[in-house]
Amino acid sequence: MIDSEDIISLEDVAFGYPTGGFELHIPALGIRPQERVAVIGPSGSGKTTLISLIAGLLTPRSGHVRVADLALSAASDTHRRSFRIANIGFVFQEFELLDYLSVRENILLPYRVSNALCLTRDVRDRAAELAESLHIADKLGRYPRKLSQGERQRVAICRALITQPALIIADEPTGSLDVETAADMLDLLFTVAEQHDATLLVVTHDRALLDRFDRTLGMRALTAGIHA
Amino acid sequence: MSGALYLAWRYVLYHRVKTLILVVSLTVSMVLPLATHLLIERYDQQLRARATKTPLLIGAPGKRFDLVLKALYFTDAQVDSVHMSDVEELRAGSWGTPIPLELSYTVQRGEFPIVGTTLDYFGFRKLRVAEGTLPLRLGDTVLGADLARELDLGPGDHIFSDQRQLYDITQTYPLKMKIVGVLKKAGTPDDLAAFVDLKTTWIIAGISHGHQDVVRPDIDPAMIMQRDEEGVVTNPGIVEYNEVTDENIDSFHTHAQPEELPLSAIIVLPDSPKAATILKAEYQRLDRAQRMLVPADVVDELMARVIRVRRLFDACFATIAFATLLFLVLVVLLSARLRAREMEIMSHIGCSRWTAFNLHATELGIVLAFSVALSGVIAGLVVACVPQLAHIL
Repeated sequence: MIDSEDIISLEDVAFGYPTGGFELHIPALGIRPQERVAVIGPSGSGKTTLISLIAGLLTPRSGHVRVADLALSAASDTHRRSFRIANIGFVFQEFELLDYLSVRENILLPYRVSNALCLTRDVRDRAAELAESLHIADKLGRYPRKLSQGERQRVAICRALITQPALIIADEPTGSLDVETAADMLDLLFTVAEQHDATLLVVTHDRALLDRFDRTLGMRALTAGIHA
Repeated sequence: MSGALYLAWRYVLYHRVKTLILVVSLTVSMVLPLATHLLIERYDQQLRARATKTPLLIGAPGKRFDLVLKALYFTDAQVDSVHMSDVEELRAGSWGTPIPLELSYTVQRGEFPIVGTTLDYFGFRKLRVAEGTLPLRLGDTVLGADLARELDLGPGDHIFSDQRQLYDITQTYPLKMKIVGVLKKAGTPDDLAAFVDLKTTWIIAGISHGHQDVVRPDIDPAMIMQRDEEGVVTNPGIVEYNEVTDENIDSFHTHAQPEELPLSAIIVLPDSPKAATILKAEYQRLDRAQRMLVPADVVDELMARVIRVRRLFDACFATIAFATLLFLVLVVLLSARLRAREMEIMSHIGCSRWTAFNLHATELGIVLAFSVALSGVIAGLVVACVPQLAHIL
């Protein structure tokens, strides 16, 4: 169902990779602001494709993808990139911190790679505050290889939040974590999403965590559609 | 600092070893041709500068390169002798000023040349004394600026000529020469030479000598082998002086005739272009025992050969540069593959394609900039540290 207040809306979206063999059809999907949504499904079911469409990393063959009032499916690549950097925070499965940057610089990375964002003292202060709130303030000068798994995930979350995005997309952030750490990670994501009024979209394999989300989107393997 | 520049800088700093290997590889491929080019350029200038200021040169027939290099740059090349009689012939002809050079001897175990000449040489080369005087007297020497600095010697000190034949006791002993002055630095081979009066070189050669006064009544009779109206023949045990002093200077003399007094070469300063032409024509005569050269022409010919050799080097350097370029391309491609995930992450975050390209290009630019700067510094140091051309030759 699509509501006019949805922050994310997909309508009659069809997507297929040029190599063929996989087709994704989404008749209609709406996600409300500040909603916490889990995306589940077996490998190859299209979870990553779905979030890539929502993030503007992929463009659908047909249909409309709209995020925060921007018609991503119609926007240029440049426009989508600048929209993404300002409005979407990514948390990756392996956290994907850059080993040659300190924790502080990893958090500030979106400001380093974007001409649209300006790295001001306020932004630096915000990075310090984020680090403080996630208990890694004393690690700001360190390099990622010197951090524990838990510290690295906190840095990744700080990086996702530094631009104060309206949408946080986490692609299997608990995939490599044990049950307890995975629960902590989710707690952390829920907390920061709530604190920053952000919508949270989490791809996961872990069905044990699903009851903590507002909604779950299940992807049917290699087929067309989503069932809520 | 822009984002791409900052990230690139952090990357090369973090991956220091990889960066260093790249910088060194590029530097080596750049510094070799650069240093070679600069050195050849510098030597070309030095050679030509001295050659063009030396209008004509007379020497014995033989290798003309050796003669010019010996007479102008004091190399250790062996040349046959011309003689003082040739100088006198030139003086008698009044076509120009001859400046004789005797360059057969050295100081400091062959490291530095002794230049036997006349005072005209100092005027011709515009050599001025920084301290002391020119070698006005027999046995005096004046040192070039670099030689004096290197040996830490100055006026009042002494220096010995080199032993000519270590195991031949019939040879004359090294001459102890009094340093009477040090020349101002000229930036030429003159800076590394010890200048003496021409007659002093003949003392070193054993052609002239000074010894005990054999006509004194108190001389040991055992020293006199024969005394008659033609002269006195002495025992070899008679004391020959190996230093010219106020007391013994009058005893120095030569028994040789001008045609027996050897010279390495004669610089000729013709009075006019016409005089130069006449002199050249005169010395082209087949019955002449001497040859006349125009040093600038000989140096041109020499440099043409050097440049031919340089082209060979250039081809080698080009090959090295090509191999280095391939190596660099390989490194860039491997690096791009290794960092594909990093670029993907940046793309996910929202980094533009241009910024990603800029990041790679800036990293490469930093490596190149360091390599170019390092090559410049090393090439400059090589040129600055390599000694005077005279030392190389």
